[in-house]
Amino acid sequence: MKTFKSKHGEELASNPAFQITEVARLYRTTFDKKMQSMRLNRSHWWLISFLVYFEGSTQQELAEVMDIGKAGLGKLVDRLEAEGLAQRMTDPVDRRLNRVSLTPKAKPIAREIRRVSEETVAMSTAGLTATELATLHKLLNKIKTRLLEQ
Amino acid sequence: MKQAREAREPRDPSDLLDNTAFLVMDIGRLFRVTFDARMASFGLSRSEWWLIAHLWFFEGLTQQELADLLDMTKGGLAKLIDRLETKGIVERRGQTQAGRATKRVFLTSSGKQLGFKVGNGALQLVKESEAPLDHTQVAQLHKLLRLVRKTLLQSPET
Repeated sequence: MKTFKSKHGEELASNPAFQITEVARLYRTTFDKKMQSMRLNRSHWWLISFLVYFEGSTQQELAEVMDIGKAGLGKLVDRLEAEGLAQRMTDPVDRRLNRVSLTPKAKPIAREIRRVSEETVAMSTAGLTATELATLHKLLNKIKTRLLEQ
Repeated sequence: MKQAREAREPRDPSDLLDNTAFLVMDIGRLFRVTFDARMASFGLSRSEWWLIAHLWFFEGLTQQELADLLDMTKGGLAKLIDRLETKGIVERRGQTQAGRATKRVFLTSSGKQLGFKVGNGALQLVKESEAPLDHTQVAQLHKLLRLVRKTLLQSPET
C-alpha cells in the first residue's frame, strides 16, 4: 500500500472493511497471475470459476453473484460458448429462463481453477492457526449476514 | 437446446462458504452493491463514487497508483477522470518528481464536499456492517486480515 497522504487515509487504514477490499483485490491479482499460465484471461476464468460452484444458475443469478451487468455477462457467456466451454440450456419448468453450465471440454479447466484457488487460499492463510482461520470466517460471516440484511 | 437438470443452489455450498477468498470477495461485492443504492441519491455511478472515495482517502495519487488501487486499466481510468474533471469534481495537477513530471489527481473544492459525503457514507456503512461485532472482535478481525494481506503481498504471484 502507498503511504497515506491524508488524515482520512490513516482513518481508513485502521478499518477492517478497507482491509477486506484490499485482500479481495490481492486475491484477484494473484489468481490473475496464476491463470495467465493457463492462457485464460480474467473474464474467462472468472466466469468458469463461478460456474464451478454455481453451475446451472440463470444469467441473472450469475450477473448478481459476479457483480457485473446482465449484458456484460451475456457477452461473456457468448464468448465461452463460442469456444465450446459453456452452454445455455432452457429451464425445463420456466422456458423463459436460460441456465448456464460448463461443457465436458471445460471440466479439466474447472478442476485446475479449483486447485489453484484452493492452493492460493491455503498459501494466504498459512500464517494463521486453525482456530484463527475459524475465527476469521466466523467474523466475516457476521459482517456478510448484516450486509445481506440491508 | 438441452434442458438443464442442475439445481439452482450452488453445487457445493459448504465448500464455498469455507473458502476465505470467496468470502472476502463476496463481502466486497455486498459493500459495493449496498453503497451503489446510497450513492445513487447523490447521482453518482459505481465508478464515480469508487474514484471519489479513493481520492478522499488518498488524495494526490498518480494515475498509475489509482489504476492499481481501483483495479482498472489506465485507459478506463483516464476516461473516468476526464468525465469527473469536466464536471468539476477532480483535477489533475502536475508535479515534478525525481526529474520527471508526474500528474497527480486531486478533488477540487466542490469535489471535496462530495468526497466528504461519500467518505462519511462509506464509514457509516462499515459501522453498520460491524454492528454485530464487539470491540475485541473488530480488533481480532483486523489483525487476522492484516496477516492474510501481508502473506498475499509477500507472495511472488501478487
